[in-house]
Order: sequence, then structure tokens, then C-alpha cells
Amino acid sequence: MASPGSIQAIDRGSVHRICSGQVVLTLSTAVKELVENSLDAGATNIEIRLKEYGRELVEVIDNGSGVEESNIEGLTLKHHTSKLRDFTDLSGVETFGFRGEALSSLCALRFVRFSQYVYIFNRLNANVFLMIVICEIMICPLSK
Amino acid sequence: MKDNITNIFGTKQTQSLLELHQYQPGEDVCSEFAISSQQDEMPFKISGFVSSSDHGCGRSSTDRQFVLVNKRPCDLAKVIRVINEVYHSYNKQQYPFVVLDISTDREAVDVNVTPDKRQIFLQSEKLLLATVKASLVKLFEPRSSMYQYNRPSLASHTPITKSSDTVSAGLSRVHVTPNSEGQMHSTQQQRLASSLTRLKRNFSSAFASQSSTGSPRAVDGKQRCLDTFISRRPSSNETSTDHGPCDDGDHGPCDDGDHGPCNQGDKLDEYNTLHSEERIHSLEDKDAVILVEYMDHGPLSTDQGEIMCEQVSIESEQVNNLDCDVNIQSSPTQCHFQNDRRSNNSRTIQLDHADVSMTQPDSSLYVILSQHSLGKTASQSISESSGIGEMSQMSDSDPNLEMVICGKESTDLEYASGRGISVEDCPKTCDGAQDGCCEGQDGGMTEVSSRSSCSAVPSRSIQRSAGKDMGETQSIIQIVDEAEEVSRKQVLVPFSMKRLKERLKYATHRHVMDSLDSAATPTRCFRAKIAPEENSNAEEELGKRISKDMFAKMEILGQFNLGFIIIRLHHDLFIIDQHATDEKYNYEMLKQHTTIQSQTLIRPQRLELTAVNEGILMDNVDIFNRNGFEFVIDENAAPTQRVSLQSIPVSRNWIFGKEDIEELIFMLTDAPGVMCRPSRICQMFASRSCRKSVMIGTSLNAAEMKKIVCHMGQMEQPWNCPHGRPTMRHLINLKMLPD
Repeated sequence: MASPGSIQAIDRGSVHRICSGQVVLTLSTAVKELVENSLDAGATNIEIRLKEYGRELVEVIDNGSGVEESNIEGLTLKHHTSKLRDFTDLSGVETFGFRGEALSSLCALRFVRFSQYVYIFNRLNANVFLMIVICEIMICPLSK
Repeated sequence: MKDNITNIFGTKQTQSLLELHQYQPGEDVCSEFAISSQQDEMPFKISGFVSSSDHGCGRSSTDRQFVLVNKRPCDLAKVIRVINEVYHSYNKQQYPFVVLDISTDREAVDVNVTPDKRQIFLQSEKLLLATVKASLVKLFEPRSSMYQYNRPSLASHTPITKSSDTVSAGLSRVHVTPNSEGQMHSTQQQRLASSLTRLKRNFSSAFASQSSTGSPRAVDGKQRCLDTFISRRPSSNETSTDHGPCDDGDHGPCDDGDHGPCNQGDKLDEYNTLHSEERIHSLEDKDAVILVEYMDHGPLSTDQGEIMCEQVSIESEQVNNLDCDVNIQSSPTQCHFQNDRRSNNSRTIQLDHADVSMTQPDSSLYVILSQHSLGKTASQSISESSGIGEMSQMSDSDPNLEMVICGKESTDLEYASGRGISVEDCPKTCDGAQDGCCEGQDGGMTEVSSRSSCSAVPSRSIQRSAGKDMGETQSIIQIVDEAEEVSRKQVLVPFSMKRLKERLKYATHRHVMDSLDSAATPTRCFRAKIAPEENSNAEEELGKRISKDMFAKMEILGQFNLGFIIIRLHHDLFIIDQHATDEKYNYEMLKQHTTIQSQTLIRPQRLELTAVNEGILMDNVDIFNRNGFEFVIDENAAPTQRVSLQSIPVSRNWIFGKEDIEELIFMLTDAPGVMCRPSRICQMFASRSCRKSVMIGTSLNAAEMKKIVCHMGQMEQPWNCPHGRPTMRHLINLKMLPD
């Protein structure tokens, strides 16, 4: 119905993938984004695992604050973030990330698996419970 | 921040780092970045670490350069570029390791620039660049002169290079300078020569600029220039502005042209090179004004710094001087008188000119030799003046003129040697240093003036000088030029080995005497107290004053308290810790000569190494072998499984293992191919050398003490033992005692 030269909107899925390509340029950017997320979450221990130099798998495991269950839904949605509320916050932003783009872009380009474990240790003879939240994000190519 | 650097890059990296402190940019830097130098408050704070500018402390690429803005890593290309530029002016071959943290108001930063958030826009970026530059210069500047003391053999070379580099770095215009200097290096292959040249060039151009302006400011310029030489401040703007144009001059042709006649004597050769180079520079300074100024200054050399200084203070007189000087050049006899008169009324150097000019060829030669033998900073000035001697010989066919100039030279030389040495011995006497500089300067100029005719430039120079209402000068220059064109002939230098030897002897003797004299002066060489907190000072002083060959000359006075040896060098008493010293010697010997036995394992042990580490290990397998590790290497196996450990070093009850291999790999990552030992092996050596050394409480006879002291001269680092105990300290200068 539309002539070949007419101007039309690109479908949403394509837009998403096109824009995501701008955010995550390279594998190192992907890793950087994930590590920055970890740091923003206050992680003190971050483990990065690559398989086949990251071609098959990128895995970032940290002990940061983790993601609350209510937040899981918005976790990978475009322009969803816990770090910024409105534009005026931008000048005072202290976290590495602030746009709410990285995870959604990664999701657009790759298969992302997010898993979170909470370990509770009871230290010997101590009434102290040590809680460690471990977030694990794995990225694999979409085809797998 | 430092701990983090250590954690990530290792202690070796941390050791070569200097902490960066923020300094307000000076006027020159500000003007370079086109900002006003009046900044009441900096809108940001910078801190960080950067590689030391010493050779070998940097990195071969820009791989470890990190800039953080408010703790956020980012790519600030301009900042990095400024850092590299400054660093290059101190360490030409390498790039620095940099961690730079800029903290500033969040409002002044725009982080939302690129999708990857690595680009950042900053407010007052130019001010930041200027500050970074100023801070780095402040950081490296003192180090470039410290260099002088650490490596006495290079002393004459390095600081000069540095200072000239600094000067050139001070102005972006002069960018060409370092490169072309580098070129010089390679083509002329005379490091010393070129450094001397540079020194001269620095000075001559400074002088040139100074006199070409001929206003009170000029005087200022000169003063500053001298200051620069002494304190190595990069402030001499004028110096470098006149520098700039020099380098694109035609130095090819001049080079060829002037080299020819120079290559006559064998030993003279290098100095010829030096001077032809100098000439090149002078020719390069095609700014004819400069040439004219050279000429004007040139003949002053008899009276050395003195007159120069007078000139500084009295400008009008300077003009007079210039006039008569030019006259001098035109007529040799007149020159004679002038010189006499000068030296009479200005200075104490009253050598009989006729006499001197007769002995001249010998004396210039002897200076060269003495330079070789002494190898000291001081002789630099000597060599300069001597060089001039030769040059004038070569260039002037007119025997009369030659003689006179030679005469001047040798006066110079006497003066220079006296002065020069004193400069070396008591660096505090700026006065002397200045004089010395002026001399060197003058020397260069004489030579340049005699040279200038070789170039095709004179016509131009005349034109320029005309503008300076020195019509008389003009014509005279013309004459000089003609005379010199004839002067390309070779001149044989009378040479007698016998005289040379005598001279050499005399020179050495004289040098010793001078050093004794200077030791006698109330300026003490050693000031540090014997106290733990002054250790580094004391070591620095010792390192500066005591060269390794001096240990052999030390006189053993006796043993003190069964633990220390008291020795004397000239008027200084030193105390040596017999145990620490012997231990250090044993340690160094062990380290150099021990091959460690290895024990073969029953079954090769698999090493869990990363692919990179494995590669490093395989590349440097001979270093591991020398440390007693042997490996089975299977090239065909999968990466990370290629290497397994076959035998490990065993030394009595010390057993080494995987940790030591990892440590070695770590060291080799930083410096591949360099022989190193794991720290535990060093520890083992340390404890072993401690056991086998002379203990405190052992009485020693004279021969044993002598041996210990002589051993100190063979050590790489004689100043403390492997456990950190000091080996030697200065006790007292006997001259300080009341009679």
C-alpha cells in the first residue's frame, strides 16, 4: 500500500535493536556496563567469567545489594532505572549508570539470564546472620 | 589510590610512580592556553600518580593512562595529550603511567554525552589543561636536575638536555625542537657534543634575543637565562622563541660544508663534530640578527663572565663593548691590546698573552685529554673553551689572528678550569657557576663569530644589523667574513706526546689540589646527621660525593668498638659498619654468582597458569632455568596446559614452589627478558650472606679492614645492607675542628 519512497515509522522492535546497538558497542562495553551496575549496587566482590572470549558467554557475579522482587519486572525495561527520577537529577548523578538503557539494550541484542541467590550464613556460635546477595547475570548470543 | 594501584599493577609499578600535586599554572603556561593567569580559586582539584620521568620508568605505550572525573572513569583525550607531551619532554621514548583524579563540582561536568558515557564535557577545560601541565612540570622539573647527582658520568649531558627540553616544552611553538635534536643525536652520534651544543645554543640564543631587543627587558632576559641554567626554571621565554625558527634552517648543507675541514686530527675529531654542530646551529639560527649578536659578543671571551655581567648591568657600555669587539676581530693586533686592557681592568686573569699563544696548541689538546680522564662536569666548560681553540685554529689561516684567539682561548681555559672545578665542588656558589656559564657562552660565541662567515648568510646579517645603527659593525663583519672564507684550509696542530703527558699530569694534579682546596673551604659536603630519619639524605650525599673508585683511596684509621671501621678520605672521616658492609658485599656476590641447584620432581607438576602467563613463562624460560626451575613444555597441548614443572630449586632447607613462579611471572610481565630473582630467593641470599659475614664484635686487622672497604667499591649499591642497615656514614670534617 505504501510506495517505496514514503516515510514510515520503523516498527518498535527494530527501533529498540537499532538504538541498543548504539549503547552496547562492543563486548567490553557490555562487560563495563555490568561491572558498573555491580559497583553501583555497592558490590565489593565482582567475578567476571568469559567463555570463548565472551562470544559464548559473559557472566558477571557480584555481591551487591541485589534486586528486590518488586523490581524484577522493571529490571530490563527500556529507560527504567533506580538511579534517576527526572532530568534535573542528571547533574547530581553519582552512579556510573543513569539512563536505564544498558540492561534493556543487552536484552535486545543478547539472551540475558538474571539469577539471584541469597545466602544466609549462620556464623558459628554467633548470633550474627550474614546475608550475602549474589546477583548473577549471564549473557549469551540470542541463537542459543 | 596508591594501594589500589599496587593491588592491580603490582608493587613494581607503584615504585616508579610519583604523586602529583596541584600547582597553579604560571603566566607562560596560561598564555599558551590562552587563558588569563589570574585565577583566584581553582574550580577543581587534581590529584593522582604519574610515572617518574627517569629513563625506563615509563611505559612503551599509552596502555595505562586513566583519568577519573569525580571518580568516574572517562576518556579525556586532551588531558591525556597534555600529559604525554609534558612527559615526552623529560623522557622522550616512553609514555607515562597515569592515574589522574579530577574532582570538581558536579554542575561543571556533563556526563550525558555519548552512549557509552566515556566522553565527558568539563567546564573551564583550558584551565584544567594548564593546571595539569604546570603541575607535571613542577613535578618533573626538580627531578631532571636531581639526575645529575645520581649518575655522575652522565652529569654533563643530562641536565642540560633536560633544561633545553624544558625550555622548548615551555612553548608550544617550539615543538620541532625535540625532534630535530633527536635527529642531531643520531646523525652526529656525539651525545656529549650535542649536549654541549645545546647548552651553547640555549645560551647563545638567549643572549641573542637579549641583545637584539636592546631594551631593559633584554637585560632581564639574560639574567633570567642564567637563572634558568642554574635553577632550571622553564621560564625563559625569550630563549625558546628564538629557538623556534632555528630548527627548520638548512642544516644539511652547512653540515656538509663545515665538516670537511674539521676532520683532521684524530682526537680532535669529536670536538670538531661538536663545533661543526654548533656552527650548524648558528647557521640554523638564520635569524641574522642572532648572527650579528654572536659576532658582537664573541670577542669578549677574554674577559669572560665579568664583562658579560657588566653588560648586563650597564647597557650603554654594552654597546661600546660591542663596537670595540668587532674591531678586535677585524684587526688581530688591535685585538691584542684590547684584550690586555680588558683583562687588566676587569679581572685577575693576567696571563701573558704572547706566552700563552705559543703554548696554545698543546694546551688545547691537553684540555681534551684532561676532559677524558677527569670525565667530570667541570671539564665541560674547559672543553668548550678548548674546542674554541681548535676551531679558531682551523678556521683562521691568518696565523696572527689565530694566535691571538688561541691566546684568548687558553686564558679562557685556565680560567674555566679553575672556575669549572669550583662549580663542581661547591654547587652553592652560584656566582662561580654563572661566571662559568658566561665563559662557556663566550667561548661558543667567539667560535660562532669566526664561523659565521662560512655561511652564506652574512649578507642578510648585515642587513639586519644595519637596522641597529651599527654601520661600522657591518663593514667589519664583511671583512671578517672574507677572511674566513679563505680560512677553510687545514691547519696542522703541533703535537708532542711528551708535552701532552706533562700537561695531563699537571691537570690531574691540579684537579686533585683543587678538590682538596674545596674540601678545605668551610662549605661542608656532608651535612646529614647520623639519625634514622636522615638516612635518605645521608645516602644521597654519599652517593653524590663518593664515587666507587674513591673507596680504594680511603685511608684506614682503625677499628672502633669492634664493630666499626673508621676511615679517612682527605679531610673527611667516615664510619663504616663492618658487618653491614660485608653482608651487602656477600649478598651481591651471591646474587650474581650463585646458580641454584634444582631438585627434579618424581612427577612433573601441572601449573595452573593463565594463557598469558604461560606465554610469558615460555618466552622467558631461561630466566626460570637460571633460578633453578625447569619445565616440561608441550607446545601442542591446549593453552594453559602446556607447561608443567619438572624441577624446583632447593637450597638447604629452602624450598621453592609455585608461588615463586607466579612472582617471577609477575615481574617478567613488567619487564620481559630482564633477569630477576623471586623475593624468597633474595631473602635466602640475604640471610645466608648475613651468616657468612664478619660479625660485630670481631676484631679485624688492617688487611681485613682494607678488604672490606675496597669491596664497597665493587658493590652496586653500597649504602645499606640487604636488611636496610646503613653501611657508611660521614663522621666529621677534620677541617671543621679548631686548630
